[in-house]
Amino acid sequence: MTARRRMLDAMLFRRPDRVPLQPGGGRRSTLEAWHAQGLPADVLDYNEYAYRLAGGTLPWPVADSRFRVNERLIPIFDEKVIEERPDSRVVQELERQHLRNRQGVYGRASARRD
Amino acid sequence: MTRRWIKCPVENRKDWEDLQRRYDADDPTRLPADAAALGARLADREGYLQLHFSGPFWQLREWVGFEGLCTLFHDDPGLVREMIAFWESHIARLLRRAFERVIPDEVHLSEDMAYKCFSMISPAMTREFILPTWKRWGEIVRGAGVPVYGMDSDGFIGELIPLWIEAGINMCDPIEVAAGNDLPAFRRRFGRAMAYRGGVDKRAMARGGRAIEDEIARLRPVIDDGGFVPSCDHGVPSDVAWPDYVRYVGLLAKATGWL
Repeated sequence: MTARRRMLDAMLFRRPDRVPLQPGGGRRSTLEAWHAQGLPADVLDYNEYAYRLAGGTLPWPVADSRFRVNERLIPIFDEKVIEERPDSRVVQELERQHLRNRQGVYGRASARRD
Repeated sequence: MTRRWIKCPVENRKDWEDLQRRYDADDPTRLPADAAALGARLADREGYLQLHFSGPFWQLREWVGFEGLCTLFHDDPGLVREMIAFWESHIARLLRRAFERVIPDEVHLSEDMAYKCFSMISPAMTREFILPTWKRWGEIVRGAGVPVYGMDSDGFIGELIPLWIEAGINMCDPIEVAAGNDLPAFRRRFGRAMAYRGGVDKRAMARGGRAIEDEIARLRPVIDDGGFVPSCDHGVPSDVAWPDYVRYVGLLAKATGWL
């Protein structure tokens, strides 16, 4: 059964051969901690690696397919420093709009304290 | 580093009118450069394909800020409706353009419109302002033959799910347990009208040991019932130790038939 069919069957209350195994995604700080705790730095897919460590032997499914549709501003705002202050910086910036690596699209001025 | 927003993209009607010029849904670069060929290749794909879009609440919050949007619903509901209609039209056009090239397995909206205990705007206000757009997009999605219409929102979603079901949405995520979302209770309440992704308490993953065993056991009836892909209920936080994560993956693999 393909990964696609397995996910569709799960989402649509049919009976896949197995429920998709999608443990989750670590934040950058999480990955930094895991590397210090034993996750090798050269491991690309830590979920498959964890599955193998847990004794899993089944073929790991293919990644999701991609077809990107850009809903954002075209053109986007330029990122630029508007004002330097003694203790902060006013910046027109791009904003990350989505937790799953979509980039936001508008300019904002923000006071940033480094 | 801390940051504070001091200006949002839309603070008056002129800002709004200027911003609209940057949303040409027919701009060819909004789809992949090789959209026709890519779409043809994806017709026989093995991987699940989602298309992601921002919902009206999310997008207006991006334009005017969270507090600005909440007050705007009260102070200038006409402008709110105008902005929602604009975004609805923009995304509807993008959906139609994309569907000319490929029919995905899922169209997934992001709203993030709930606090820990309640929706950020009331269900009644959501029904009045937002639901019609979700419905009309849903008609396009269903009309194209897309089987899964999904919704993402952090926070407590129990009072939003009925509206999502009414809109034709049939999957939601990430079902944060810390916000009081009780997945077995949702299944009893909403039956098979809603499928779920997520729902595994990240706090139990951090505690590890018996706590994560109990958490997987709690979810087991829903896993077995179907319409549920268990996963961490948000990004995995750094207080989840790597050995505990490996243990969690092993428990999840057993519960889902991978071990």
